[in-house]
Amino acid sequence: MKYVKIFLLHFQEATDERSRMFVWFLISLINPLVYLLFWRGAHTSLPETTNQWQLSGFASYYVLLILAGSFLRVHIEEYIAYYDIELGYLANSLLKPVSYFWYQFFHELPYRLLETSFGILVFLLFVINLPGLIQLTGKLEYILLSIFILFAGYFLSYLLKISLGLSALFTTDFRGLSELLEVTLLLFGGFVLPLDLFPDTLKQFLFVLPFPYMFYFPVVAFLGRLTIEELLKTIVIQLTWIVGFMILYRIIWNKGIRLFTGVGR
Amino acid sequence: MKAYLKIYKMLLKINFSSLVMYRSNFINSTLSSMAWAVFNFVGIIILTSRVSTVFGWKREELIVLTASFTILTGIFHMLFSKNFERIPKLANSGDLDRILLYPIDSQFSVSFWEIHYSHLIRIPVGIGILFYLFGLLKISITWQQIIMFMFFLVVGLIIQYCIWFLATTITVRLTRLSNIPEVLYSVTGIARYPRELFRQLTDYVFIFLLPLTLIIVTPVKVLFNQLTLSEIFLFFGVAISFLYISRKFWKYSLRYYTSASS
Repeated sequence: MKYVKIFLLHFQEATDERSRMFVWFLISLINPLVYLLFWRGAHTSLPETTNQWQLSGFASYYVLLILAGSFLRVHIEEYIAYYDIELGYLANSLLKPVSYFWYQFFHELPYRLLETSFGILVFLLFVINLPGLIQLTGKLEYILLSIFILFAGYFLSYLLKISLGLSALFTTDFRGLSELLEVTLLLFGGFVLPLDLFPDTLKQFLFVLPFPYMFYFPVVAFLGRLTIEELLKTIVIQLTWIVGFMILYRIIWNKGIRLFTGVGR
Repeated sequence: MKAYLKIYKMLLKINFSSLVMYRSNFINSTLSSMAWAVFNFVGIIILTSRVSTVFGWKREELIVLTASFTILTGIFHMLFSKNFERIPKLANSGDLDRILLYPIDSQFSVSFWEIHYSHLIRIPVGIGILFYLFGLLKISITWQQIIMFMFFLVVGLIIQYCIWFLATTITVRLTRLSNIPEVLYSVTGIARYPRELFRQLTDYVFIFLLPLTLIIVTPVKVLFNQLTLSEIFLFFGVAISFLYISRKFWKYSLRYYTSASS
């Protein structure tokens, strides 16, 4: 119950900051739209190069990527590194009778949901104005598995970002690592191009990494581009990465908290 | 003017001292800047991996756009972007009071105060790739073209400065929108794509985006000998009008600055 209250409290805070949230949403919106325009042009000039990814496939992919960017791209790391660690507000959290992990989880979730609501509006605009362009899976079992993949992707993204934020306990300036990871996420998470269109050897390498399981697979799952076996395989790999990141988080938290000084608080 | 040059020289020195003082921070920021430059190049290479021409632009020509964008953003982020990130904070905390009391122009103070040398790294990277691509495309470039390219890049820089300044000035009045500079990083990324890409949009949206699409494409067209007289007029027209509008908008917005009980 206490976590529901935390969620509701931060939901209130997020709705109060809706104009700022909309500005944040624009970041998730701009790049997929530019890529969509790029492929629209490339598609009309060279349709044979895009293979199985026809225009509607690209449109569906990038429109869903707007939603994925809004919901799945957790931005908790800067808050943790700056407010909690650099300014020392972590001291307040340590005194609260709630788990820091779940507190931050329910702190971030309302912001993601609100940003996603803007994404849903854009999605509906596409569906209404360009009927038939966006094609998603319609089978119930596929939808249910895709929903699971979506939430597993969110959890994976959250685990990565909270671990990254807490890495500031060990370093004086975590920005270098943070930016490097952000670039890796954008490239290998499928934000530029569907990973399906990458060369085969690179694709096989990328599918071992956690990044595609945070963004790319939730998107292609909803597009219906995965078979039941592939959906189940995705879930297994996601769960494996979740366990791996949970262990990483525990190590960072247990070792890092001993180094926290919370000066002046 | 002389006094402002003297102040700027001093600012260059002070900012260099802070670089020497916080070396690990500098290395970290250089890494971040480099990471984004790599993202731009790898992004366009991946994006064009399945196509040889898009909107009449060859793959290598698109990479030339990205290389020029890298040079321009290197200069821009070094000289301006951190200053623009500071404007919302100044307006929100009321520290803008102090700046308004300085016996120098307030636009100068808010735009030129911080210099981040860490972004310098992008310039040699962009130039190196540019020369490599021209060798690959077997295009010979004259000295006049290089000088013209640099001059047009400076004008492009002015347009980008004005766009950022106009957008950030909004935060003087609407202090809640302090994250506007963050979006501008994504918005200006549009400049590295051919203008034809945005012609697919409605006329209103295209006209709105037009200044952004001029920033990089126009200087690059100098290198390809494809620039028309009308494009030159448009480019300079946009730069001059944006300089005028951004200045006026800053003065106008300051009228609504209410401070923060400081």
